[in-house]
Amino acid sequence: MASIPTGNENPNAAPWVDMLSRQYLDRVLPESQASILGGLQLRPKNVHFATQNKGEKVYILLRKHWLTNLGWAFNLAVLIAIPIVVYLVAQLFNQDLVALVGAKLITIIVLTYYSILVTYFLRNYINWFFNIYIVTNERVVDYDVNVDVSSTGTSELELERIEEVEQKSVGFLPNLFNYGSVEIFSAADNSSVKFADIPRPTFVRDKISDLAKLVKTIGNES
Amino acid sequence: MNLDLSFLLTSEVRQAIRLFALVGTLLHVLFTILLLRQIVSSAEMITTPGAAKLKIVSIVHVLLVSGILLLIIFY
Repeated sequence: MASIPTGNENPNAAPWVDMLSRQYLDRVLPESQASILGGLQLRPKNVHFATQNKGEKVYILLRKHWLTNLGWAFNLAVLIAIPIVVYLVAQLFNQDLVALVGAKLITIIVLTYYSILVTYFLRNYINWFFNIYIVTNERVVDYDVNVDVSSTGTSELELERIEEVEQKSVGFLPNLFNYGSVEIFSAADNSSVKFADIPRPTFVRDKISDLAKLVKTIGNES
Repeated sequence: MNLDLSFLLTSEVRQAIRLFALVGTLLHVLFTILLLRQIVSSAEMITTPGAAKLKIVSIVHVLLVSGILLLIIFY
């Protein structure tokens, strides 16, 4: 399996091949950079995964665009406001809820309610945070985490097997905020890996295509 | 227009609220432990900056929810 040289392997390969591919890699991924809320990170630091091979380097780390969290964030904002609205409505009708229910019971109700909201926030944030797409010098990996059903899944595709990379941005918000899906198809079988709702899909598609080309070139020359 | 909330004064309603909070928080503690387990296993699968902080936040949250459960039990 061919992979892009990282500087510490392949002692038998022709030195010009390594130099050329490293120069090309610098053109493909010039420097380390991260977008807002870590949706797109190029050459990220301190990122490792369980099945990482020796010498395998992470080039691109992706999460869904931050805007995809808007739905649950809005629900959370409404749920946070409900007790305040209830309190205000009771005040409007000259009802003192604290006196009616008792300070202790009110404290328990409020604490229970808001702790459930914290859990709701954590659940959704974890679903977003650990749903990660990775591009390394060997493959593309899609990590799926679903907290509700306690499930985790992984699908991957080697860079040298990539035949086609497709990009789609459908809808008003994806086009306005520049996010969409990138689907990577394999040459050998009909398998594919889909990076859904990622930021800057055109850029990512281009980089994956370039990296796949680079890996194929190295595979042919070494 | 008058709003009558005097039914909240009855001990049956208070007991029902307390029982509901007790069962709800018990299930909530279990769910937060599952959430923590999910974070730990996901962080083992993939290490990214921020995963350790998320783990700490989740541990603190489990302790807080357990504290609320104790508060309801000893109410």
